Amino acid sequence: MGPEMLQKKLEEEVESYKKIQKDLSKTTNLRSQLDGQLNENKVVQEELDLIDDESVVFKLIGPALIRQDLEEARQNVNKRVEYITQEIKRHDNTMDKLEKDADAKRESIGMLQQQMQQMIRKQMGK
Amino acid sequence: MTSVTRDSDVHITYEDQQKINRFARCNARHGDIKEELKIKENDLQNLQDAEDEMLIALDSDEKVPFMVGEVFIMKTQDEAQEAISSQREDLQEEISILNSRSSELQDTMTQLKGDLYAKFGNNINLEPEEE
Repeated sequence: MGPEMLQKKLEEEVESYKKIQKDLSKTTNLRSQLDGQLNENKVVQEELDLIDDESVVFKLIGPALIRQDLEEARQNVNKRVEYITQEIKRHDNTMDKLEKDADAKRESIGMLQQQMQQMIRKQMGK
Repeated sequence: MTSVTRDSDVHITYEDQQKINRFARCNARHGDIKEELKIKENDLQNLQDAEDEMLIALDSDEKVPFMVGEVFIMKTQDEAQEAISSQREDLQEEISILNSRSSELQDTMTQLKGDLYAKFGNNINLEPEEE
């Protein structure tokens, strides 16, 4: 590969690596957000399981406490916990893939840089 | 977001730098306003949800614990309705003020962009990073 093409390819790989890093950081942030939500919902789940079946439960919607049916509330929270757990798994998979992609990019960039250096040395040797 | 590559052909006057600084300030403030707007729109949605839930979930004579600061006040559904409507009006006014501030900033930035691109062309990048 000629030096200009090599340079261009190097720049492209670096751009693409930067994008992977960006996606990785976005996904990591989402995942920790999900973690927080999971814990919050788990606490609610525990509380709802501990209380009497006769108890009255409310949900804070905006500025109003709206009475909820206990069974419905339990089911809603359970469903939410399931969903969030799934989402976390999905994000973990995405992160694994992105990290693998990043590693591959790093290798490719390393190789291109080596090629550049060899070319420069050859030109200087002339 | 604003970057200038120092080229031997490019001379930046004091006024140019002032413009760049002004653009950066407008951009930062614009970002803050966007965040605030997101929060307020969310609050507006919550108010709507509360109103809807009240109608669906509660018996017609049931009282609603309504959040006022740190305490809950038992209100009739009509009173709660009124309180929600009044909060909604306040929010909508705040939102409209933020929106008009946001467009003012955008106009200023567009104008500054025009000036700066005219002078510096490709040596300056004034575009927002994609979220």
